[in-house]
Amino acid sequence: MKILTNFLATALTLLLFASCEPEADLFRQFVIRQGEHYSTTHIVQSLQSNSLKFDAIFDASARYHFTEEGFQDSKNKLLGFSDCNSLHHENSARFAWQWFNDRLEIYAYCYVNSQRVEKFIGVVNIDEVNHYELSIKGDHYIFHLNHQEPVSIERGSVCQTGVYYMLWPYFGGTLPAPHNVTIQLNINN
Amino acid sequence: MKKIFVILFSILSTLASAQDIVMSAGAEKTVTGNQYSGSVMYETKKSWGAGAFYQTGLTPDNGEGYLKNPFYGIALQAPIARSQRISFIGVLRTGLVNEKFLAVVPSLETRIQITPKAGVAVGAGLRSGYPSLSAKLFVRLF
Repeated sequence: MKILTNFLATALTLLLFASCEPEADLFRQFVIRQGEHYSTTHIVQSLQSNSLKFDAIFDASARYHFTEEGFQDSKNKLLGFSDCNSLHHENSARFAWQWFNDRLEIYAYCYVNSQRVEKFIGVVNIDEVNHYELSIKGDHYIFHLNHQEPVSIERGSVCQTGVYYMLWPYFGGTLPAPHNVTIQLNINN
Repeated sequence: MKKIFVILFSILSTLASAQDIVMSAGAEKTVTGNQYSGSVMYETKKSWGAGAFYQTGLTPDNGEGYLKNPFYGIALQAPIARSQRISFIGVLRTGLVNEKFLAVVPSLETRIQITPKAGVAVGAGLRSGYPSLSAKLFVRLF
């Protein structure tokens, strides 16, 4: 029994940190159903680092056209976080996206002291892995898309220590998803 | 008032039957990288426990220090199932990451007692929305 227990203990410990196997595919699929705003994978999680780094893949479902064209430039939310102990409509930072002018545009999308601030970042392709980084540096949010020039937005006046809850994919804006929209995300801080 | 006394009495009874200070050192593989940890727990005979922990990732010196996402706080544990040598324990760690981000990390541990005073534990938890795996050595001091 003693030998067996020792063997089990050693084997489990070695197994944990064995590196001969390739890293698992950590992409997680989020689906926003037709007529919905929120994605189906509901996760409650808080940010645990000064930066949020992730890869994202949009597929063909990111293309959509509203009959009321005025809504076409409504920003859909990709990923981000609320700032220290704030609700997300008070202080938050997220990447946002929209299908506009037949291309997939990525934006920095923040609430700063309850005022919305948006800045264009760049364009990405369908079915392509793109790398995103959102960092807190002092009193600014810094947005990186791949190797493009970073985009900076000033933070509101918030506390420093507390809960920074994660904000997951959300469609809209005002109108819900016109069809199922699928996004794959891999957080890799 | 009577209820408070009953609760206090229950807590004191639990503390009175406690017999172990358990120290551990180990590592956790998280989606954000490997972290190395140490903890001190006050543990009852029935494996209920509370204590403190510290863990951090290590990075090459880039001028900003060696530590990556240090995480410290308090840990609470509750027994799920026990035998003489193997036990299953639920652990809840609550603390601060980088001294500013409040984090709550639930995990499950399997402990294997190798000697009466020492053993190993492996566990699975949830960090940053992804599963994490951990392994540690523990020693019962007294």
